[in-house]
Order: sequence, then structure tokens, then C-alpha cells
Amino acid sequence: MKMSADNFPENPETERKAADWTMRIDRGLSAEEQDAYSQWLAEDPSHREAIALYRWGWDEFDRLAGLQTTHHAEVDPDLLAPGNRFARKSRLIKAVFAAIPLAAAIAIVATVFWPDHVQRETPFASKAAIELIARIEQKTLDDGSVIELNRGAILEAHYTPEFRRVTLVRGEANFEVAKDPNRPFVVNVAGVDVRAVGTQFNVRLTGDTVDVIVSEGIVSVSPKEQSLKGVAGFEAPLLEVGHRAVMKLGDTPRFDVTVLSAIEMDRELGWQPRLMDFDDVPMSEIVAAFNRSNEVQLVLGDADLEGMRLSYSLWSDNVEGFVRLMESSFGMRAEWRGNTEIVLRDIRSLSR
Amino acid sequence: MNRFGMSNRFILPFVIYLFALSACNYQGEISLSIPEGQASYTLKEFSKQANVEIVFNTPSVVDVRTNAVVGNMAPIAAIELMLVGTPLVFERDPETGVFAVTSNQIPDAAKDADSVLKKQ
Repeated sequence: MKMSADNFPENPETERKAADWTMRIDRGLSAEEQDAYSQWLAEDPSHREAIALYRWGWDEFDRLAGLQTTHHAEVDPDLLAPGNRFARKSRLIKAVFAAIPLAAAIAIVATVFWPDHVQRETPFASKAAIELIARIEQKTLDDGSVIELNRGAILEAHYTPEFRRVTLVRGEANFEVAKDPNRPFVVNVAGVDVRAVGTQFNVRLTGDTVDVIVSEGIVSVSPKEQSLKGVAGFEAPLLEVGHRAVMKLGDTPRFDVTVLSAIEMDRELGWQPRLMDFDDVPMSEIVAAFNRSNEVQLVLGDADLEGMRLSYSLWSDNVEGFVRLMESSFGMRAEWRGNTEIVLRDIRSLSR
Repeated sequence: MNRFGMSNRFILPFVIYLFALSACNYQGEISLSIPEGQASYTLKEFSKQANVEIVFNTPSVVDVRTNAVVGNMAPIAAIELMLVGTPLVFERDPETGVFAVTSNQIPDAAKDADSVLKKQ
């Protein structure tokens, strides 16, 4: 995920809370803290943005932590004493050791920044556009449940012996839950609980709306308070295969349940990557296949390209790799048009 | 801090960095058994067995036969062996790992393309 100071929340109190929750999450949340955290996330969309930013920052720190050296409990009292053989090292050796970190730093900077910029400069212009064509992430949790995270989604897992609880902080995810009748699987999203035992469903959080679609088994959907404490007077909708529940968040959550046709289901769940395996098909067909599965749309800028015949076995979310190889191996040039369109041109046509 | 003083604070990250660099380019070995045959079939078979993505220009592989590959090896080593002595070449996208296979006549077209770009 790409983050920047542009999407930093401006409320200092929100920032402070987000930082506090980030620290607590890192050391592990108790059941009470988990409730309080879910409630805080549900209070305001800016809280979700803030926690996303701080979690990203924390993850970056984790990467640095991986570079720590080891520390020894025992101090060497003679370390700097005159006559210590290590204190007598020649200046040359010291200079060599001093040069290593410098060389490492230069190598890191060169590797991390230089090639990346060179590669991305031509076809992939804006940061927002890069995020739109990032690969869709798949996670397998400890119990074997498999989660597909749509681009930009953030998910946190908090498993206990009684519950398998995950929080969808932002975005959209599809859950294929491993069966465990003794340990319900609960997705908390903006204060709404989606509960399942062994099933498959999709959850999307956009602004103040939670959207749940069930593709296998049965799930229940309810505000968190009812779900956990059994408050009377609220009937949690039970969703079956093909059902969709759309919830408007607020003081009195409203649930609208509809039934989707097979075509509608395909369309709604089409963001999940699938392996596209075709033999000898025209380029126009390949482009259409990618466009059905991605927000970023490919456009053929030259009629000559439409008939170009390719065979391929590619994941539907790998637009980035496909476009890059079209440029490097198939004589094309890619140009961004806005943030959601890539125009492919036959490079020979540019000279005409 | 230990008797090596400050120096190994920096050596360890450097060593880790070197390992990380090699890990980036490392592809695990897998068991492959791809017979000699028509490239249009064997390249797809390679994609299936190695669990990698692939794209190739169909007309350029017509009538091309690739070599048999059997044994444990990295996908990149396998495709190298398959294409030795054929008019086909491959490229691997470093970020997403997709393989592209083209005829070795294609680089000439790419050269034309480069010259076009330089003129612009």
C-alpha cells in the first residue's frame, strides 16, 4: 500500500488516539480493548484513515527493527583499555569497517530508489495510478481461512480461543472461512459484526456503508452491541447464498437485504483475481478480459494491435506485469490517460 | 556493544542486505517434467508445472519445437534449457515474475522502436 502525508488526518486528537491504538495492537488487544477499538473505528471514517496511516508507519518501523544487531548482557570491561588487541587495530582496518556502512547505505539507496524510478517513470506516472494496479493480496490465517484483500484494503486479525475475530479497517475483502463450529469467525467492520462458522462471503466498506454478499453457507449481520451482548429488540438478518445486505451506518443502523442473480454475483465479486488461460486469441480479446476485472482500463491506440495474436496464462489482476512486458518484449508503448486508463500503442506507428 | 565495538552494528545490516538482495533474485527449485514438443503446447505446460504466468506471440512459436526438461530446477533455468537452440527468447518481468517468450527477431523491432524513441 502506498501512503503519504497527503492523506494524514489533521485532528491532533485523532492522531494521538491512532498512535495509541497502533501501539496497543502491536502488543495484542484484550477482549475489552478489542471492543473499544472497534467502537472507535466505527465512530468516524477519519479514524479508519488515521489508523491505516499509523499501522503503515509502524510496519515500516518493523522493517527497520529487522536490522537490529544483537546485544550482549555481559559488558566487556576491558574493551577500551590500553593494550586491548581490538583497541590496537590499525587505522586502515577501522577505515575499512567505516566504509562498509557507507557502501551499504549507497547500495540500499541505489537499489531502492534508482531502478524503481527508472522503471516506473515511463508507463506509470502517478502514485494513485500505481496503487490502482497493485496486485490483489491473498492471506491465509492461522486456522486456514483464506482472505483476498482488494486493492487498498486493510485487515487486522485478533484470534482468541473463543473467537476468530478480524477487523476490516478499510476497503473490501472476500473471506473463505475454515470450518470450526466451536470458534465463530467474526468480521467487524465499522461497528457491524458479520458472523460465520464455515462459509464464504464478501465485505466492502465504503464511507458510511457496509456491503455484505454471501457466496457459500450462512452468515449473520448485526451491530456489534447486539452481536456480543445479546441486546433484545433487534433481529440480526441471516444471509444465505446470493443474499446481499447493505447497511447504512449511524445511530440507528438500517439493513437492506436483496437477492442477487448469478450474473450480478459474478459482477460484484469479479474483482477477485482469476487465472486467464487462453490460446491464440486476438489482443482485443485480452484487453477486454483485463478490463472486465480491473478498474484501470487498457485501450488499444492502434488498430494494428487489435489483431495481434497471443497465447497467455495470466492472473487477471496482473495488469502491471502485462503492460510492462508488452513494452519491453512486444514493441509497444504505454501511456497513462488520467489515473484509470492505459493506452497501448505500436511503437512503430509513432514514427508514421 | 561487544568487543568489536561499533563496527559490527553496520556489518550485520550489510550482510542482511546482501542476503536480501540474493533472496530477491532467488526462485525456489521445483520438480518439472516437460517433454520435447511444439512450443505452443510446451510453454503452456511449463506455465502450469512451474506455476508461473506466461505470455507469448502465437505466430512466432508456430513450427518451433522446444527441448525436454526433467528434474528439479528454478523456473528461469528450466525455460532457458527449453529454448536453447530455438529461435525463441524469453524475458521475465522482475516485479511480477511473468515470462514473455518472443521470437529472436523481435529484438530487431525493439531496436527500431528505440531509434524511434530517440528521434522523438
